[in-house]
Amino acid sequence: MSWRIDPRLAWQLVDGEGIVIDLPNGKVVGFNPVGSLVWSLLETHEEDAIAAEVARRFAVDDVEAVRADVRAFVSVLAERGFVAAA
Amino acid sequence: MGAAAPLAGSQRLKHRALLLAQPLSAHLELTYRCNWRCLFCYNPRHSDLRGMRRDDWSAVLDDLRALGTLTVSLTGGEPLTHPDFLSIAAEVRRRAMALRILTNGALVTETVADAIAELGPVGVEMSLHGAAPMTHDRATAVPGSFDAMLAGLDRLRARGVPLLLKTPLTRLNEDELDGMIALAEARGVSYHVDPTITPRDDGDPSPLGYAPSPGGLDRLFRRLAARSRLPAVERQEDGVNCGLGRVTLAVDPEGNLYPCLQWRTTSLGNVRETPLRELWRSSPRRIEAAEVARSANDRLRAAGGAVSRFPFCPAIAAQRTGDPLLPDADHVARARAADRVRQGSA
Repeated sequence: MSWRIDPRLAWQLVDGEGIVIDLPNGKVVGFNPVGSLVWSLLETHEEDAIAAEVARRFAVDDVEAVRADVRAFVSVLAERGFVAAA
Repeated sequence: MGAAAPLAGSQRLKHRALLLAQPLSAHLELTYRCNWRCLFCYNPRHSDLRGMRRDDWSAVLDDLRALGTLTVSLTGGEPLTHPDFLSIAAEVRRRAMALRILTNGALVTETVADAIAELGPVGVEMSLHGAAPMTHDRATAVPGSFDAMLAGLDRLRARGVPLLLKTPLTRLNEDELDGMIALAEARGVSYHVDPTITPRDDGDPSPLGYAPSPGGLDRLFRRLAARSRLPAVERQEDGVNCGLGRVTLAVDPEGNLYPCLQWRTTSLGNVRETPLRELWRSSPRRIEAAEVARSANDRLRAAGGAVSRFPFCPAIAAQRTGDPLLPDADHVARARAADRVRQGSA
């Protein structure tokens, strides 16, 4: 499944890390480097491909565990309304 | 994985932006035109000699996105007098940057309110110059401006737009402080008071004649202290005084780039002659301004006392004293007044 970042959000990268303003309530959320990588790939990659890239960049052997983590993170983003299925 | 960090994470990223000179916040002055004539306004004129075209602003927004800007504030003059205001605002949002609008509110019709609400701004800020219509209208020199502003405010409020009312405290309205606070509270709108009146950008000191009296300043600080909102700064070793030349920038209606909204002593260049991105990255004047922010923190920290604990603006100091590191007498008086209240309420 691919995703689309909610156009109501404002976001930027600072030194490769994501910072998001949730515009309806003005709250600011920061992502750590792993979350930022997932965020930057969300609109152009499927979840499995994102997990593979995270495992490669952060030198993690257990790709299956990374895949589960990516899914959990994207679910949180979807619950907060930051992303929606494309 | 714990990828979503708490708010503390965003503070860390803001600190990193300071180190990297990533301009998270940009003020774009779309026009000098204004439908009000505030007696103490810092703008020296109300017309554009060679205003930027919509394409020029689009190029600015492209560069801001590339430089890492997160929030764009559209201001003026009165930004709603710019014929392309709504399309420029939409372009900000299309680039996934947060939009803030600084307006007097008088031109916010039902149609404009709909359009602004649709844009989803992170905030709309309006000026309140008095609790009584007569006081407000005297300050703006426009009869009916109080009612027009409140009508615009209420239209946006009805649409759930986040709002902030701001008051430059002056001798004209200092006796109405409680009334202005009550007005904002009655509407459930955030409220901010600024006791700093500055000369016009061309150096004309006449606005200073409207600065609040010592008694007015004291009343303001007591009100703020009662709400634990007295202005205070904790200066860190190796810190910076403010975001000057690092996380803030401003572009005036004719394309001149500055290292913050207040700084008008030297421009970094004109974005119509050299792309903003290039000016920001290579201008020695930007680096000099950023160093001023560091030096100001070092000097005030070493000096100690009331002035070290009070927010300091090097741009205003440069305008008032000719030295961005030398606080003017009015600033010192405000810092001491705040300190007296702080000690009295401790």
